[in-house]
Amino acid sequence: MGARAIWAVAKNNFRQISHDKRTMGLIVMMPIIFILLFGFTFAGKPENIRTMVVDSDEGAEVVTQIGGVNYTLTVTLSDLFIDNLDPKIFDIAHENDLDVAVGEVEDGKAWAVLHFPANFTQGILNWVSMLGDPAEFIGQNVSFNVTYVEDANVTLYLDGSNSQVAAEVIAEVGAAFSETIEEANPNISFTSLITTDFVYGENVQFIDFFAPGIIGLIVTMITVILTIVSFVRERTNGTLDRLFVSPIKPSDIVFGYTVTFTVVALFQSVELLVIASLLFNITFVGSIVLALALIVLYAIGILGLGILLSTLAKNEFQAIQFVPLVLLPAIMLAGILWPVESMPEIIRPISGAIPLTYLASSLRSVMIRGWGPGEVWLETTVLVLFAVILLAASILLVYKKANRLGIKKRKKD
Amino acid sequence: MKHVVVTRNLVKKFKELKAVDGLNLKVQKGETYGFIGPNGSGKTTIIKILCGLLRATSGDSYVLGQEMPNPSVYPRIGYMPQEAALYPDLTVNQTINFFGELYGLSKKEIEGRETELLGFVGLAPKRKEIVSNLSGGMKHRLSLAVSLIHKPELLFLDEPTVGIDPELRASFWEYFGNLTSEGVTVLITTHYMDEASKCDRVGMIREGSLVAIGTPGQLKEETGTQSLEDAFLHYIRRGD
Repeated sequence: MGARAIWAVAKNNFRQISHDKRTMGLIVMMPIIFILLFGFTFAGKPENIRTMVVDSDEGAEVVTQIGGVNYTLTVTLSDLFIDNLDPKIFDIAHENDLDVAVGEVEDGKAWAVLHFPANFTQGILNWVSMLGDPAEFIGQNVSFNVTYVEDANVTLYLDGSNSQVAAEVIAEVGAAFSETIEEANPNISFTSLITTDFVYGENVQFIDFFAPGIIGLIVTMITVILTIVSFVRERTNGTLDRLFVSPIKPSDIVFGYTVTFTVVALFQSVELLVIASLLFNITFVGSIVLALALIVLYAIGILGLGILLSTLAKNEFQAIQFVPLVLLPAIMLAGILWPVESMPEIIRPISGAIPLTYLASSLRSVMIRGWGPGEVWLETTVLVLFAVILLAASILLVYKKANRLGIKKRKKD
Repeated sequence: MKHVVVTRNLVKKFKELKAVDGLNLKVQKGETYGFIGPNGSGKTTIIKILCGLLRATSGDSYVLGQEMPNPSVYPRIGYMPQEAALYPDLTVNQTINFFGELYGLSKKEIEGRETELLGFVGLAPKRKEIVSNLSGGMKHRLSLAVSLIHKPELLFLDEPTVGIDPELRASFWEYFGNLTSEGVTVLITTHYMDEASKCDRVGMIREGSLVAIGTPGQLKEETGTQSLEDAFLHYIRRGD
């Protein structure tokens, strides 16, 4: 029997799925819905952040010599600074009264107030004269008086209740500041102080980080749902009893299911990768075969888990309640949406016990870093162990349910 | 080997409940043996133990000379559970095909059996129909066809004629008659007394043990009753 029996079970499953339009729809649509939802909601940074600017900068006088004649100019660096704020990210409103502006933040109408004091330009001039030769300043040879001033700091009043927005504002204001100084005095360069050289993943977007995790999530979800529900249905229908009273070996039943749901998992993974490539242009520099092999390993383990869980449920209604139980830790702890490194130290061992952690991290390495089997061997080994242990446990359980364990032992008695 | 099914002091307990209580059963080759008994008397449990689906708490059961549970007898026995036990999303012929493949039948053998069995249960016109669209009676007929696919020499039928119209019921019994004349043994549970009277031998079950065994004629004679139904009531009430 063997191969023929396995194929009979797999074919039987495929036929049932093909006659069940809702399940077919679920299988085909789930990757599309997931990638669209995650792609569009997670891909972007916060934009159009309402920000009040209170510009009290009085500027400073600089002297420039054109054709032997001295001209006195008033320079206002705050204007340059404001121009350097990314207009996509900041939605700027000007306000003269600082109290009114801060009131806007207090009322939740704006996220931040950027306040330039009267001495702002003078303070900067003092500072740059210490850093570099001010001979060329804003494109001109100038000289200016260095007079010590107090309270020249820019103040940022910030609503920190949304940490993502707050972090974005702080980072962008900092960037605008560096840019302003560099434009003002070309002798100063902040970017030259730190050189960034991407070892992997130049131009990697956030979607590249989570796409491998989403694949894992979909495979988890659909495999767990389909195995638990089909196994519970086999039992409640009475067809499982029929299989048990037939010559088919319980292991062949499990292998037949493995074939079915591995094919489903592969189909969904390829579908998701294609959509993600077309719509979001995700990075994929590694071997697709290796990526799919990792997915298959993971799907087999999850199938084993599904069979084990199905025996805990009396009916399909109970069975479906196991799905969030499997899915929620996977979403939260497997490093799909945020890195494992960002989790509290006590929780990290739990992440290490979740198989999806290893699939997500190895898939990411293959897709973004282009790593081969030699580099992802650790994750691969864990996934192999996971698949072997859970599949073996589920086969053993089905043997037990079929009353096929301990028969030889009894004969000897 | 004269007896195809033998049990000795078979006991099955579900926690405190004794579903089978010291059953001693002998079924001869080629006979139709009917189990009759009230609901909850343990008929289905006995069938499930004999098919290896349940393990007895104590006692022995032998099927075709093998101590149960034992998968080596599975190719030789057929089992029709009480509920239809079919895949709702398959078509009729896919159902026959699947079970045929499970028993290792060749494509040709399956085709032959399909024509024969669907003809017999009157489902030939429905062979492309999805099982969930069939009526309850049709599902039962298909279920019987499935349990016969591999020409078993011993058939366990758990209330096979529930929900089937009288005409078809009669043809089922005719078919069982043909099977036994070919040496097939049929072990059947039923509620219908008219069916029980068609069995070669009847075992009356009460609270998990046999209270009377014999041909329908013998049972009527022993109790001095006119019908098997009266004989049945006689035995069932005697214990109260």
